[in-house]
Amino acid sequence: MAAHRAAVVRYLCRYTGDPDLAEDLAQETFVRLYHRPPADRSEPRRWLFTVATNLARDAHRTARRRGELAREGVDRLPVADPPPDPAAAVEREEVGKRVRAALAALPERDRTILLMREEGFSHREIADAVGTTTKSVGTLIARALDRMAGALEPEAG
Amino acid sequence: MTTMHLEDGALVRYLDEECDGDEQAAVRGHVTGCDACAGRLAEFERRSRTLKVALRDSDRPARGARPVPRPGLRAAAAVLVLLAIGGAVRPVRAWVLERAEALWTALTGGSEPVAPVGSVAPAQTAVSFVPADGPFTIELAGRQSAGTLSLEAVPGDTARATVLGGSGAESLVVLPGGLRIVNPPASTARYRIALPVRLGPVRVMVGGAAPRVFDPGGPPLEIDLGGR
Repeated sequence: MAAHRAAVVRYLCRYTGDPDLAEDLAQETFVRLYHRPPADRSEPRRWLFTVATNLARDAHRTARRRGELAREGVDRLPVADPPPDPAAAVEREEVGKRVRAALAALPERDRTILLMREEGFSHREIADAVGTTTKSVGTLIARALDRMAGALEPEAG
Repeated sequence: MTTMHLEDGALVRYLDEECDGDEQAAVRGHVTGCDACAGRLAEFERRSRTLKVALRDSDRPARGARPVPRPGLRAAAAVLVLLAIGGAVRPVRAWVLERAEALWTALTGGSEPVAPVGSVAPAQTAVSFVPADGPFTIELAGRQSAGTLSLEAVPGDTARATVLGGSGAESLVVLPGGLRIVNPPASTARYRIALPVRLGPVRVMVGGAAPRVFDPGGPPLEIDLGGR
């Protein structure tokens, strides 16, 4: 389960932009697994990420109302290991900032879709998680990637 | 003649290998003869790859590997979590997580099923946590049928408590200033507690008996819990 916990923390960290909040929310996700395990046990991993997404969404809304966390999350940093090349570190830092800011600016559903896709979920699983049809997920991913274009490819933005 | 281009959704499905058989072939056939759609497909592929790399590069280290965050932000995050989810008490979480791990194993068909109530099969329960600075106390409900409590010091900030050879009825509860071992009188479990060397003298209370003291700066301590 350690790998799933790490994946949930990574997903939540990307979603919220805040590693401490991500770990707290991941813990709460597993607390819920214990207290209220899924009735349908065929896809526990999807269940975990759906619960994590709901918690992150709630926390994000609260943070936005308070107007504090999102701003801090975008500005806070550093990466895990200092790379050997300072110029590369600066570049990576800048890209990371842009991507986090762009993710934070996406509608919640688009952010969920992109990040669940990164975690390897199928379009059907993503559709179930965000409440849409499987076929529309491709369109939503395309739209989200277009919205992220400025952050991913500054010259295109 | 009008050229019909593919929808973006179809291109992404193709890229993600999510098309059904007919659509896969149709998209493949179309993009080989349509520069506009081939270009759009390449664009989605490039952006997907860039996003993957950017996310990976900007992932933050795990909590234990990072400097302690600013107190203000930690407080804000904690408040947000509590406000958002109504807040399970943090010290209880570690205990619950250990149970969740067993439940997860059972859910996913792993080889370590949750021990049923009354099971006499040897069970192993463990919990890791970071004790706060200040006094630390280990409490046991009382003596038990047999078993020992072993205490040792370890480097770093993380403590680990392990139940060995238990019946599944034993529980570990992490408290703000200590650890509670809920041990039934019939238990024969052994408890191994590794504590950060930075802690001061640790009080060990077994039922109503006079407390023992474990000094993390000194030698390991083993307490016989049997004799009930």
